Amino acid sequence: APFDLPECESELIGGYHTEYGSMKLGFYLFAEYINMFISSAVIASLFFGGYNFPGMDAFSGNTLAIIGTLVFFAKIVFFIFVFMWIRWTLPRFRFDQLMHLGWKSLIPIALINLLITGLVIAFNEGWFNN
Amino acid sequence: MQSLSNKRKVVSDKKMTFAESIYLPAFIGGMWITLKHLFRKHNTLKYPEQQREFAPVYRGMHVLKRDEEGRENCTACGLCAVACPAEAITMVAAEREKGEEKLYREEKYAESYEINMLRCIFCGLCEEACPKDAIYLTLSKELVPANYEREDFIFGKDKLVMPLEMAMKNNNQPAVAGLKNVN
Repeated sequence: APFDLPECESELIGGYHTEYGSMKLGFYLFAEYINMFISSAVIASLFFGGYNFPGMDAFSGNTLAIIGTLVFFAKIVFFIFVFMWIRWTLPRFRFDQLMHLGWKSLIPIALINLLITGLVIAFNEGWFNN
Repeated sequence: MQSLSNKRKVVSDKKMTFAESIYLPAFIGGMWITLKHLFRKHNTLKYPEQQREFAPVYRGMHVLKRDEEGRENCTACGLCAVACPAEAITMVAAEREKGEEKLYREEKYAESYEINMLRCIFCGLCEEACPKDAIYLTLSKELVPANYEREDFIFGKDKLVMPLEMAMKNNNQPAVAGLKNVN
């Protein structure tokens, strides 16, 4: 997640990191960055169109495949950047505030979004035209 | 009370508005600030590769001067040690023997002259106090080098006295920055 609350990256040491050194710490951090990469890939492919990009009809075959791969990786890198951006903008976000943000703000916004999207789809399908 | 900095902000525990309570506008404001800082001129230097410019009046490492004939100026009067606010200077005086006239300019000289570079604050008061123009703080680009042992920061005459060749060279040039040729 963008907010790494138990770790506090603004601190020199953080949680279980204190107990590890050299290669073990390296594996831990590497695993976390892999996790970030995977999350970004999931976000990019589920919500931001994966390897699709505007104007992709102009290309075909291998060119399209190569450009699509590059576009996909560009999107992933962008989301990794957003992760780090949030992380270093709000290094010590308080836990209760995060709970407030998640449960009381983002989930209601997501539900309203779901409702509106559903209404728009239903409208376009002509459910209200009877 | 009147505020000194004009930055006083009255805090209150009023209820947050809806926009404040969902935090998101504040987030975006904060992220905008970090993004602006990303493209700003950096305040830091990549130190070992880049180094900050020294001020023109910068005072560097000490040197114990020789005169134009290569004789040491210092007479171990101890005025620099008295003037030193950090008490970094110690010396042992000795009398010049016959046959040493080429080495020391006057009848008395410093047998040992030590500056503790860990104590020295590079204020330049020793330079001001010296009646014989013997000690100078140079414009040397090299700072006191890092070391492992505390003892290695006590600089003796081997490190402080100006090399003979430099004294001879200065004799030909009337003035060198920080090492003005007096006498």
